[in-house]
Amino acid sequence: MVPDVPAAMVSNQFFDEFTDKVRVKPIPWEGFSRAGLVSSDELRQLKEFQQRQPKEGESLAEYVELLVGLSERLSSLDALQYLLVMLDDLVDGDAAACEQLARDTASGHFGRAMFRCMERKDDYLGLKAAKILAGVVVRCGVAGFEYARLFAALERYLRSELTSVVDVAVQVMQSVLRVGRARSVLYGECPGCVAQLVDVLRRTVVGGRAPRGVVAVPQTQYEVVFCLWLLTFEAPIAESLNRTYDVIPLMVEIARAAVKEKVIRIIVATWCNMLRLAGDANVPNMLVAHVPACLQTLATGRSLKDQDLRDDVASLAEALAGHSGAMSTWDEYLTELASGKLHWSPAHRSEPFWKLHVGRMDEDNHRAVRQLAEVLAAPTSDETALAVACHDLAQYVKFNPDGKRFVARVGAKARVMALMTSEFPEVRYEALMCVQQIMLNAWRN
Amino acid sequence: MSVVSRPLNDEEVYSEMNKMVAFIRQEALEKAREIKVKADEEFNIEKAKLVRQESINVEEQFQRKVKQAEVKQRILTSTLINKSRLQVLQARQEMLETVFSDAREALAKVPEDKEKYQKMLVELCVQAFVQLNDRRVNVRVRKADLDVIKTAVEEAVAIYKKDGKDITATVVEDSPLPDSVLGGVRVSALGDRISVDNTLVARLELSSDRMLPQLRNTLFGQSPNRKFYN
Repeated sequence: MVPDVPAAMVSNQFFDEFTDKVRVKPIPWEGFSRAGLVSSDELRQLKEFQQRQPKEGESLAEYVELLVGLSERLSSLDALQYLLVMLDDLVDGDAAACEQLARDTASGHFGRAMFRCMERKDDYLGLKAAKILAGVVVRCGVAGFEYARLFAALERYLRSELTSVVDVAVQVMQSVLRVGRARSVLYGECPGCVAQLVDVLRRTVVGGRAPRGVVAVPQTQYEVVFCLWLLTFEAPIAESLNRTYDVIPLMVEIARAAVKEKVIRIIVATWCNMLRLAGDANVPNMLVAHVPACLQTLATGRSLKDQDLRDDVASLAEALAGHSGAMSTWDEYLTELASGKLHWSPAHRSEPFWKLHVGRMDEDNHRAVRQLAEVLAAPTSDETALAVACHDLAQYVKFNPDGKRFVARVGAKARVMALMTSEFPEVRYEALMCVQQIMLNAWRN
Repeated sequence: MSVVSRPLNDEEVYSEMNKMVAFIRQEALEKAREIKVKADEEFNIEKAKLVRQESINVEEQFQRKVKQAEVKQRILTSTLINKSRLQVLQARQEMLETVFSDAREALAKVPEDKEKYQKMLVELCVQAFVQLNDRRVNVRVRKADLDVIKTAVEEAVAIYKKDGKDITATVVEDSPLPDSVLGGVRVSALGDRISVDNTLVARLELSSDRMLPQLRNTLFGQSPNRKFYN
């Protein structure tokens, strides 16, 4: 029998071992019964439940009520852990039980109990609760589920110092994001969570050996990019994801260095989504981040075993080539500007380039100049981009004396002058040269 | 991986094998999940497209049905309006008929007032003479009027001659007018080739026709759609 893909798939050594321990830990149910927290009826039902070995096709849905009720009332850590482990087994194995849980979640009881678990100090309890909710939501769908609350809890887990906790949290997100509405909620209402996710990914690249919070680099990379892939199925997200979180260059770096094929597979799939759903927004960034070159290396350098991956790489390379093939140097420059990632390419340094194209800078209501001003003003531009922008502005003013008026109007002049006192020497130099050009032309007029 | 210095015993073999199996299973599940996600998304897109298509179709069908119903309604309304118009016209016509027949009955009584009738005959003759404008005319009346017509004609001739025109009026006795003309005269000239029918019945017809507008106004009021009154 081929097993079906579980709705919420979490595989983490620490997590699974803990689950096994909980399964066999003895819980003092009689004690609870004496204390009045558990009625004798419930006690009897519980004993029944524990003895039952469900046969093929039989369902334990009737016990769901019992388990949910107990989880609402009890607050003992051990008991709750046990109950959650039982519920998790039901979600995975028992379709009718899962539907019953979905109904309970929709009515609010179950959700409340689980969210309370997530607020406790115990990581295992919270993560288990999140996993169960993820399973229910993916398998049966719950209308009006509070995704924002779930993501807030998951964000907390993502910040944890413990590697397993971060790992399980990402895996839970992998499952939850299969639901369309969850994606929109996550992106729209919990930007902190997305930022944290991207941060985890970044750490796998920057951190070097055994970075904080990463279990095994390829696996974490796969899991996080999987989440991003799920997010890019929504067109608005595909459009703004790179702009807000700058993930494409990061993904290029990972893809280049990846050993495991599945990491490459999921990265290429994400790029395919981004291109398919929001081509205009993402093509410039992809071209600037040298995605086509990367794809080329992948296609020729490695022997990719997965047929789907080979097809995806080929179609992606073709699509990008279609976009970039018709580009002249000027278009390349515009693309670079649009992406905001200016760097020292030969075009920037060559005088003839500027002489030739300075007129075109004024095209489209001075769009190029405005974009330069934006790059200067944007707080996320790195020093190279700032330096290059100053240099370009200087060249523009040099060959187009009337431009300085526009430069002043758009606020770039003030910004350049401020940059003269920047912390980066290169930026200071270029800003000084730019101011010189502006001033030079002032008296010549 | 650590260098193994001796061959593995059974337990270790099994554990290694299980680890490999678990690993392969995990990889397979991950790929399966990716495929499932892609399939789900494609399904959603396709479903949305189909739903949109069908809902457009249903909307069109509905609009068509609404239009058909409207047209039917309009046809029905206009048919009913037409029918009712015809009914009104019919009723009005009947009323007019009643008026005319009542008038005819009243007219039949006119010759009973001998004096007035005599005067009337004279005037009728004069009018006919004037209209004919001929020197020689024949006058015909009903059999019942033969006795009074001779004097009437003489008077009429006298009045006519006052205007300076000459006329010879002959009362023809052998071909009287039928009784159905209810009175009055028929004057003819040029060998009976041209005649002026001044019988009461003929005059009734004439006035019925001429007075239709006033009749309409008196009986039914003015038409609400009428705009010009000059």
